Amino acid sequence: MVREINIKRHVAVLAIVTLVFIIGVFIGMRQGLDAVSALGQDYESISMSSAMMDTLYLVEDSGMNASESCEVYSSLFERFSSDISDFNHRMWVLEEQLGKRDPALLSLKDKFNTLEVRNYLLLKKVDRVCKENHTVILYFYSNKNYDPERDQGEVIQQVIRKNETIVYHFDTDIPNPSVEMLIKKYQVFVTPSIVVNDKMYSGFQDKEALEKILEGLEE
Amino acid sequence: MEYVLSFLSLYFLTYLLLTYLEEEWEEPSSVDMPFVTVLIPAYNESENIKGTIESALGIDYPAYEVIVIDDGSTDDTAEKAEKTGVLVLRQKNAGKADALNNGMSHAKGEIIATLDADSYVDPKALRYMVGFFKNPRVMAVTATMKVMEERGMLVRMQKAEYMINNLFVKIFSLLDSVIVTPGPFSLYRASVFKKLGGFEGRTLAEDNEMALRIQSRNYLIKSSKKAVVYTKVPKTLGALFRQRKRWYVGYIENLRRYRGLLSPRYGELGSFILPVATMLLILTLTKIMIDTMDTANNLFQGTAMEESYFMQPFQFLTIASLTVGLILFFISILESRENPSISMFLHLFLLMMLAPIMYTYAFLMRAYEIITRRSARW
Repeated sequence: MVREINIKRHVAVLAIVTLVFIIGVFIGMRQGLDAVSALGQDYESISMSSAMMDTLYLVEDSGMNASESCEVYSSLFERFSSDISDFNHRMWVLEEQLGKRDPALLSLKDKFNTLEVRNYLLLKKVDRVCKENHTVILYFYSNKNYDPERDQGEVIQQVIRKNETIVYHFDTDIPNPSVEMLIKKYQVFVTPSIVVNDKMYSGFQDKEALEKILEGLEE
Repeated sequence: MEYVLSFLSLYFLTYLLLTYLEEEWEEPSSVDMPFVTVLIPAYNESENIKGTIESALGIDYPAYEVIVIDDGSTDDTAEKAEKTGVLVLRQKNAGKADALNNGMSHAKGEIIATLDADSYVDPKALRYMVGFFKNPRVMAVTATMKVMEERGMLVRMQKAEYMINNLFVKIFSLLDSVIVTPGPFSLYRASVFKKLGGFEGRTLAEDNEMALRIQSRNYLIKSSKKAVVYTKVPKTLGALFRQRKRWYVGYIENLRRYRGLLSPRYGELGSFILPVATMLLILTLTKIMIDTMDTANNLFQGTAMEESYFMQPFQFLTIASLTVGLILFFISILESRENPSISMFLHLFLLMMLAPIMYTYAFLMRAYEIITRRSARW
């Protein structure tokens, strides 16, 4: 007895499933564009906050007493460090989904790197004027030699106490004069590398090593 | 792997749905009423045996006999059976397959019906089922299985599951791809046992093994929508897990034995139903293991779970396959002549959540048995 296979029905089902898949691809792409757009809006918002903090430079230059604004700037920096952390995390998630070479993400990251450098320099000024001592980590990385087993960013997130440490992420693959200035200043030759309160630590620092570095700051 | 799993799921369910919508269902009536032997194998079924025998004796059919085979019960199953007046064969405990084979050696019927000792058959069942044997290639016919009780969350979950399984069996019947002749109530042409041998005792799922054996010889198994058998289901998680272990492990072991069925020679069964169903089972198990390890690793490392800000195509495929699954379930509720309710969907959802745990338990336990060289237990 010959058992039949209904080829027409299989072709119809294959067509339906393929169509569903294609619709899924389009929906995903659309959502991806929306997610990048939302991240772009976040960048604009953070950029605006940063612009407000820039006035500290002008206050000091004008001869006014900048230290009277210290309380305001401290709280702004706390919020800003949280915004940076969220932004970098969302950037990382989108890079995982869209790819690290996505042009829209690269452009956004480039602008954000510049914003981070500006904010870092302002933070140093705030610490000087307000006599504060924030723990700051500059994290330099490259996606070209990314090793998921040695993800410095992941280690930093595991170790730091978020309210007390500000972390700036710099993608060294993107040509950015501001970032290159920091690379030259801290003699960053290898990625990943971190600079913790102006001290350079070259190469991957595992959890234990990073904990020791941060404990050393407390002493 | 997610892409393959979601693609196959959607393909499988959509194919079943299209088959249901396109094919016409026929329930052949029969003028001939061949003599039927109803075999009831029983082991320690003192609580149920009287009711089962009474349901068998209440069958509306002109020519049949009932034989109970007591498989060395340690309670009063045999005595209770004898009081009903039916022929009771007693044997030393040797398992269900042996009991059935013993019963067949005393059977006079052209058609053999097997009825589990905890199941009740609808009076009209035989009349609805024998018509399928007009086709000389049909060697077995199955009935629609319904859950006897209504109480208990676990029972209601299984009731929902049986409803959709009944629909799947009907569709498989349309595709000549029925792979189980369920123990609660199935009919066989007596000559098939002469051609292919009796029930196999060395398998965990003799009903699945017999069905695959019949299919492997290119005979047909059909399913009757109208014939109904009511059966009891496990009421505790432990009993349910043991049952499913037997089913899942038995299925894989039987499929390994009849892997020759995985061939286009067997039409939709060999080229689509069996390969896809098996791949879905293996991929689901693999995904469960990988996801469990990932979750454990994330918890151990204190790292975040994977996030996503937008839908991946495989997630869209998964949503689509869930949608088709829900449509099929809705159809199965209507076919069962029940009133659809939200609680039925909830119960099916709960069982689907439980299913991966049952799969994992089944295969881990079997792996343990193999490693420790214990024989598989019911």
